[in-house]
Amino acid sequence: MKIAEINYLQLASIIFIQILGTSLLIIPGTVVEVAGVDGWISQIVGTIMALIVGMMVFYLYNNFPQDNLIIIFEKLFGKIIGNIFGFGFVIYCILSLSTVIKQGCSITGYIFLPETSPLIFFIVFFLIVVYITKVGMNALARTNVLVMLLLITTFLVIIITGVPLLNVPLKPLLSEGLFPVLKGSLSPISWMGQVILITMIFPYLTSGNKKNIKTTILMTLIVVGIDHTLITMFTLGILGLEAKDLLIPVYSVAKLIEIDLIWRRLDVMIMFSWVAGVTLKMSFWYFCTVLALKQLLHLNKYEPIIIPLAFLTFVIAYYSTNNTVELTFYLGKIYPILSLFSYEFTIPLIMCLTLFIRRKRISKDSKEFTP
Amino acid sequence: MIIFSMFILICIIMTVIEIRPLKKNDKKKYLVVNGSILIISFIIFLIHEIHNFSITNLMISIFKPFADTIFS
Repeated sequence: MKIAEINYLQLASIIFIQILGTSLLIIPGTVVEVAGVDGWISQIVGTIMALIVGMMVFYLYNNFPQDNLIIIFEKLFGKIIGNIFGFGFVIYCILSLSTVIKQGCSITGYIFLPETSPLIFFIVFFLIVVYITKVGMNALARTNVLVMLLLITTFLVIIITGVPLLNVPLKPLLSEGLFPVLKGSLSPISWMGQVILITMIFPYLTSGNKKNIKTTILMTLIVVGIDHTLITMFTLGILGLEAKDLLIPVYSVAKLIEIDLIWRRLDVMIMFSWVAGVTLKMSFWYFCTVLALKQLLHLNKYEPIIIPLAFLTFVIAYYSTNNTVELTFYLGKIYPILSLFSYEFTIPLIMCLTLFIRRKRISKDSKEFTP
Repeated sequence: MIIFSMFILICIIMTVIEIRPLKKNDKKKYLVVNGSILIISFIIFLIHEIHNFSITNLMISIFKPFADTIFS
């Protein structure tokens, strides 16, 4: 079967949506809660750390351009340990995806349609995610490009129209030292570390040379980092430390902005980009989960497991946190630790070290990726 | 419970439709995998209904000491 090809723009858009799909609206709140006025510096530190993860992803791609993460595990650690790591990755994907689903459904319901039953959102997102996964990687990559443009437009409109509202000085700088900044950077690293999911689509990156792929990954992470830093600075500059008490501070900023051009209320645009971004993020996570399970269980094709696995993930998501306060706590304090000590930093680091030490003895001919 | 049962039924029907054209060995494999996934879903549903306990609660209880140490 022919593998769908992903070009540089599509790869950049996948990384972009993958991170900014949910973080654009939420991240200022979680960072400001820990780092205070220095939240924007935490974003810069987070971006630098994320570039290290990006370099690790590229190092793996450079050595295994035809394999996905599950096959790389097996080649690096052998069959038994490789399968344990692979199984862990599937569990990690399901847990992370359920968090994304919960965020998507809770925030859409909480902000935009408070009187609608949450179950309706879960069912609608379930149907969309199943459909997009069935359609495949090519359609997902193309849609990502369109939605990336929408997210960039939303971001630019907020930044440009928010300038007149800036009234809170971002001072004093580093008043409590560097430690709160470093603690605050854990949340952006965990969000941007999700670039590790790109390892699942290495076999689709057939059309480009390695140097350009490295540039694409790193440049996209830098652009996302700049977005995070600017949106945090603007949220702090407009709302001040009040931002830490809000679930979606960027939405509150957008509600304050009034423009008299084509439309007056900017929150509609926020809603559009949120729903589109979160849907594509869910779909990409789900696609990778299905692909990982298929590879792990040596199945011929992934279509028959799409619906049952989606059902499991949505059940976990539906019964996860009980309210938005618990969700914010989980996102800000628990998820960064869970992800960074597992598949977003520690395990890729172990993989890169193992690869560096054993690079001459790694088997090149065990398994191959099949779409 | 009714919606949950309906979704399980939909999953079973869709699995049967998807695996119909496959070979006998593949059919068995997919039945085992999909059956296991549905059983796990049912267990998660039951645990939540009986004990009001979710996987996220489990994660919070495991990682909260670390979070308290780091973010205190």
